[in-house]
Amino acid sequence: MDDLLRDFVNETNETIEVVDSELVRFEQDPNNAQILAQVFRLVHTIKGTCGFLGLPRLEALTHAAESVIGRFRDGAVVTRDAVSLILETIDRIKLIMAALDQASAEPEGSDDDLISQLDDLEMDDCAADATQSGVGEVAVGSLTYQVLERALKPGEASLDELEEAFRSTEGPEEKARREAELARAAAPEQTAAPVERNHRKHAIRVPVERLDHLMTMVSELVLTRNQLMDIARQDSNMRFRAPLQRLSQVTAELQDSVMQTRMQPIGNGWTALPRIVRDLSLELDKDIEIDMQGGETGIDRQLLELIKDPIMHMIRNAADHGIESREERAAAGKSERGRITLSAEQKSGHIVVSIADDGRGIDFDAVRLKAVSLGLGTAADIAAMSDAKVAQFVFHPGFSTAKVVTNISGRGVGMDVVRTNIEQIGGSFDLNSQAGKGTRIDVRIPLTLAIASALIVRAGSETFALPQSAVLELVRAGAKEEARFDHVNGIRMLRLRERLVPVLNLAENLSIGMSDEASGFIVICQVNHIRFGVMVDAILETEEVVVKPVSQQLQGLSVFSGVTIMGDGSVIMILDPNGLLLALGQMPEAHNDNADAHEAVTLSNGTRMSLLVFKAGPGAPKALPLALINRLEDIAVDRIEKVGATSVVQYRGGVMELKPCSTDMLPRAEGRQPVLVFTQSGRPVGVMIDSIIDIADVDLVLSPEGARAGVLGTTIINDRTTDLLDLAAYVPDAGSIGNTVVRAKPRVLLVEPNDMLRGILLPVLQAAQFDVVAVAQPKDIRHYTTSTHPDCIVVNIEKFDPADIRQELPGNVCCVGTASRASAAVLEKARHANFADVVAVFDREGLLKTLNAQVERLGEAA
Amino acid sequence: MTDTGSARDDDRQFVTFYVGSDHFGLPISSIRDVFTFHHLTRVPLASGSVAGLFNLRGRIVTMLSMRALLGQPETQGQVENETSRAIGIDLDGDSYGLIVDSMGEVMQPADAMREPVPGNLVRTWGDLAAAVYRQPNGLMIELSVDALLGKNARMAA
Repeated sequence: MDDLLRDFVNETNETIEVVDSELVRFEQDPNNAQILAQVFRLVHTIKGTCGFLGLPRLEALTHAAESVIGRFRDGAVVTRDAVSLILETIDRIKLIMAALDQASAEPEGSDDDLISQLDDLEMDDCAADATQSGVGEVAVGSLTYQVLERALKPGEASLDELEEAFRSTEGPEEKARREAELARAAAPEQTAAPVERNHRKHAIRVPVERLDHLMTMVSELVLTRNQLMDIARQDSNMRFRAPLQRLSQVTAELQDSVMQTRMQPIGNGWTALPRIVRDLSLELDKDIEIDMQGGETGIDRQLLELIKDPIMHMIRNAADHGIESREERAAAGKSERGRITLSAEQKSGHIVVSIADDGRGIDFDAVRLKAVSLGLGTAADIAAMSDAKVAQFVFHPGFSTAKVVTNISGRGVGMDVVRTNIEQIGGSFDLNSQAGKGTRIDVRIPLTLAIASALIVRAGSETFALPQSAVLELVRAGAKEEARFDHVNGIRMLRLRERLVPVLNLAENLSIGMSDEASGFIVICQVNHIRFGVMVDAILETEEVVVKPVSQQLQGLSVFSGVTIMGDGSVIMILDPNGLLLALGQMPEAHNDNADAHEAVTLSNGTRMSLLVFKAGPGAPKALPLALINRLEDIAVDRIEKVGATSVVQYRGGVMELKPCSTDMLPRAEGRQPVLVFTQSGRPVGVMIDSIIDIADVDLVLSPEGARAGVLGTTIINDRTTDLLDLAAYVPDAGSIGNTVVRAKPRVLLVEPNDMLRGILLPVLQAAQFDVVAVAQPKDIRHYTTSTHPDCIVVNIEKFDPADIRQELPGNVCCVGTASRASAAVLEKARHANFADVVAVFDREGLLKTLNAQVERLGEAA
Repeated sequence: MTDTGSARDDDRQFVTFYVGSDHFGLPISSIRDVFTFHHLTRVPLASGSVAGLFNLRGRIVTMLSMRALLGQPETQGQVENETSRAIGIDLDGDSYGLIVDSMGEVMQPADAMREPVPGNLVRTWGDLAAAVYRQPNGLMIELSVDALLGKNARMAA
């Protein structure tokens, strides 16, 4: 296409976008003469150039639009319909521009439909003008209070609006003066228009590809510079130092500069949004405004292109699903106008773009239902998931809980594509939502695409790069306590500090061999809050690499996200953590942090669920729904202690009771005892078993034969009759015995005014595994007892009267008094106030013994 | 970019090469360069026709084995023996290299020698072969680049 035309197309496209958003602004602020003048000027400029270039359709359209805008300028009434019509005209112009871009000529077609409407509008405005001026003449001097006794019809303006328009309109003399001025200004203005635009003073146009190429070359330069610096550091030859230093500085500045050339204010990608939100408001019959902040934040041009669509999509979602209708909002006590806030800011090498709305928030229950119906998990699994995890489903392909699919959204194809696009460029999502308050999505994207920090690893005699951003830590495989392998249903699991992490053997997965479990390394990665390990032979180093895309023919390999050339010229593949996670396949959720065993699991026949199958005692294997199991633990037998007849173990900062799974089962006497850990009311409960057999995904068919205490029935798993255990039978059982034995730590409130004594007793109590709060004054007691419900109060009854203390306490809380001398009087008072015991204040042993006894007694009583 | 006269010439100029004992040719206009290679990086999980990746002066070239594409058995050490070369092709911004056993001459066979692909070859190579040219010492089979790369894509699927 010839240069002149290309320039015209580029410039006009930019101008049109500005016109678009300015028109929307104008609609909201019809008295703003400045905006109107600018719009008029811009349209006028386009018209002029169209005429000059011989583009009749565009010329006619812009002329008609200009006339209407001119009428507004002359004081005609600004109706919403008028603005809509002009926006429609702008759309038509955009269409023609697009065709022009493609074919270097205007497309065939007639715009008479729009032009005649525009002309009619102009005529109407003239008429309105006339009547207005008539009213004006009559009303000079006095205002009569007038009220319209019916609702406004569409296209009508209220009397107030008319009044406003009239007042802000200039009289005929002023108008003549202004027009003369405009005529003078118009000529130089037309040529000055391009320079006038703020960001583009003294600018030239450069094809984007050239800048991209420049960027790539500079990236390579940076890496080569890094290598040179490395070598120089080792080489003691001083001659190179100074020039290299200079080279380094220059390279850094060059890199910075080139990055800046590609930077654009992110607001440039937002210009279309006010118009879109306006159109959405009309279409959805809601009142929505968009508030954009941080538009001046700089972003790389390439990134801007990539996130424009995702942002648009999320805004559409917010408008469609987030913001409620006027009535709903009024009913909820919110302002009728919903607000979508779009903001951007730079934070530590990333740009964070947030889209927030003050709408109804995400209905997590609806999401859960939809997820189950899509087969993304069983009802049990999903019911057990935290809201944060459930929120992830929103990004699933085909997911939409919209009851009605509008042509804006609801088709369910959007968010997964959005997320994939963002993640492909190394970005991440964060979704926060509060029912009734609104939803907020934060998108983090790295500032630069080209260079990434990568961990270089070796597996199966090949070298690979793993993006550092996904790597959490490195673990050396081996038989150490910290990191041990378990195999659950053929899937390798690593026990990492009491969490189970599935592990992928990279070499095996890529069919290039197999890494040795005993001597390899495991790279712990995280993708979307899911942790997993990648087993490799060796870890070489961390390097900054220039990411190059794989050729189209290789795009289908999801485990690779790109290729790079190392310093020695060798080519290595860059692994994609998302692809690796996919390769791990459907992992059973072996750790449900928030599962509470007490929640009923409906085991209706035919439900598909994951069951953990295990041995516990002779006889049939047993099974339990995997979703209810919090953890699979292996506890060293010598850690298990006995408290009375009950076995307990200190677990995660608390004390957990262990029950044998069945009465005919023998707990291990040595080595390690496998334990299934459940959560009951937030507290862990352990069930000892013999060994884990398998994890089975079955369509549950339960036979009631064999049902007895603790067993719901039998089912066939892998051709063996298996008892399906009734968890409800276990857990309350475990909970009732020694409530306080099982409870994390008994709570003690220490009341002691003497700082030194307090300082002594506090650590003693804490060391004895009590949860202690220490206060100095009785007046603080009430505050603490109501908030923390201590099991026992330890009070200095020499300083304070036991009776007074007793008064401060709710109910009959156990009290133990301390005194330096246990005189008879003191003892009597204490007994009177129903104190359990009195102990000498320096008698640590005695105090602990008493407390323990009291706590136990409390447990028995419960 | 060229006028019709030389365009025709270009079309009928072929870079030819051998895979096994068969003689093939590609239109010169579809070829970027011919180069030697070494040290290919394996691409795990890629289809059998992908021999690996090669760093050609900073450009990453996806190397494809013509033997695999043509359904012929790989020879031992085929990839890096003395006479093998790679024919460089660009498609949609990606660089590919077709590995062949040895290079032949650049030829401009007479139009009269051009014939449609015989039936038995169609059975073996489908649409990979675009035409055949009768030569004094046998046939030169004209291949289609699009078909070759298309086949590679299908093999990966």
